[in-house]
Amino acid sequence: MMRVRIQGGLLLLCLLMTSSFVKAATSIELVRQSRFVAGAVQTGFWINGTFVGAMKSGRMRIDVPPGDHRIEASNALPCDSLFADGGCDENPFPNEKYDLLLVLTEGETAVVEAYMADGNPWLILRQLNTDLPRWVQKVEVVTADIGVVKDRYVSPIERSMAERCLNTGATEECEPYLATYPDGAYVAEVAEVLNRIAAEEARKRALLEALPVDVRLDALLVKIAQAVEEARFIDAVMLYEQVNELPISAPRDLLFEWAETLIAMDNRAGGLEKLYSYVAKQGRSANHYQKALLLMNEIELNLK
Amino acid sequence: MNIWRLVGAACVSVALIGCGSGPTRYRITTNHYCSSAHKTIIEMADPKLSYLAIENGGNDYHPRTVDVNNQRLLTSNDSGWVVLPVAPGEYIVDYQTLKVGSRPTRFTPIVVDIPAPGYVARLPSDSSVWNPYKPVALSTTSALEILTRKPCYQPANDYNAYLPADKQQLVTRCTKGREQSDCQDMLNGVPEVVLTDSTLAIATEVDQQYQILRVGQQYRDKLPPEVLYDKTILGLRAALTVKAYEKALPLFDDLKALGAPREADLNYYHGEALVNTGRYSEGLTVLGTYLRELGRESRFYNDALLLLNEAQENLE
Repeated sequence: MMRVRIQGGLLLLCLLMTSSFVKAATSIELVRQSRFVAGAVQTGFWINGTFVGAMKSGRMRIDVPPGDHRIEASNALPCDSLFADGGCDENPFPNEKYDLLLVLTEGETAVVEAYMADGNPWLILRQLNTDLPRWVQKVEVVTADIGVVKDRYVSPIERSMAERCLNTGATEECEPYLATYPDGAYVAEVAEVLNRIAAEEARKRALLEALPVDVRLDALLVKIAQAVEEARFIDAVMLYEQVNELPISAPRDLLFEWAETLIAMDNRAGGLEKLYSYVAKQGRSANHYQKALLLMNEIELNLK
Repeated sequence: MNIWRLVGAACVSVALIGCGSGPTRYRITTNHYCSSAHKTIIEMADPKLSYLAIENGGNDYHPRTVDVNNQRLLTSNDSGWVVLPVAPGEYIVDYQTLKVGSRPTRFTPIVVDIPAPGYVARLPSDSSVWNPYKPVALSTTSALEILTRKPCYQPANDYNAYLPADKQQLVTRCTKGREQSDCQDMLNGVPEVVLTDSTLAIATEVDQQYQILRVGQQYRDKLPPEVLYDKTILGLRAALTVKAYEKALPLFDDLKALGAPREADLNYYHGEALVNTGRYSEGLTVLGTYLRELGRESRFYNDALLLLNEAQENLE
């Protein structure tokens, strides 16, 4: 009795292990109908830029990973044909390619037909639904030159976003990539760039923190003056915030200048808030008392 | 010269021998080929955005027109893509194929339901002018690919022209009523890309005014009374200089509430603001007080009399 139970358990274990190892492959099946029109012409196929094979008619299966895939097709006469294009051996498919983008889930098989249409363009790639036409079952099975494509499709947009990050090494170029493509092809490289930036910033911060606080304040004030002069108001506002965080009392007119910068950015509400703080703190003895009140009225009464 | 294409064409010709001449060419000039604006849309990547990607079938003989929510989206002879950024909602697509000298082939309109942000409804045409559309869902990546693909078309109108009625209503409520809550509802319900620059500018300004009001309410009481007095007097002067009488009136009340001693000429200015905003009865009272208190020696004696007469005439 015990033995039977152990054997049963082993069998179940084996089954479980097998099922976890054998996963249905994700694949693309390329098909072309045998037709009189363009019967001499063969269609070449590419998946994610890799040439996988050519056929005049038949069905060809290529295994791919789940995700986005770009299938391209182009028609040409075979090189041994009398009317083949010159230079056929070097470039057997010199004509325009037509493409189709697909998203495949784990274990899904998409059947894609290279269809000879009677319009313009006359070669169309279209995905056939689950209810396949009968001819698909009848056509000859063609072995693909490349039966497995290992990478998923990286769109030009994803690539250009990643390249912008890798080339500039700037946080504002890298963060959008990770937000848009959390499972993207360049995640590791982009994350490395961001780590590098963070490490560099930490190093700079450590150097700066080693300086006396009044020197750090002066350095920030010089930077602010430069940023305002060059109309880099966003940078200036970030620097004002840094001054505010220093463990030292800020210059008397800092709030007024901060307000002026915010108003220059058309952040009038932000500017007004700083002006209220400025006159509340300094009262009638403020250096820019009259100007501050005028600006406050101008904003609140919307006189411009 | 593509020999294979020639071979294909020859084969078709053989099959068609004896069929007579083909239809007449009928080309319609389409000027709205897509611009670099499409790239901007991609880069904006608004999480509230969805897309309606329509492939226009066409040939030299039969142009096809596509309307979305009763607005012309495209008319063209050549096959190509038009990708419309949209908010989730219902979109009615009407389309027809035009013919020379006869009625167009009008297809049954289809209703495309865009259920959620990030959804892409693709309407492939199989490249034929005679095929009806069948919407299929697509990944956003693919939609963005189509956006950059050529040939592509720019919609004939601004994107907001194709919004469903409920979303149009959100836009109208914000732009006409200029209430912060309405504009916020619009920004929550309609992707920014779909809105025109002028609508966005209105929403931004409405929000800015709301924030300004909020800051004023929050910080006013924190000012010392003498500073508040100076601010009010300066505000009054600024408003009266530009004859913004409506804006000046509440400031007189503010000054009164502050309990500060009134300047001698303040009654004249108050009267001026009241008369110029049509509040003649109150204006008459204030100007009367001014003239009684300061008499002929007052700084604005003549002006005050003129205003007094104006108020009296209007009251009669």
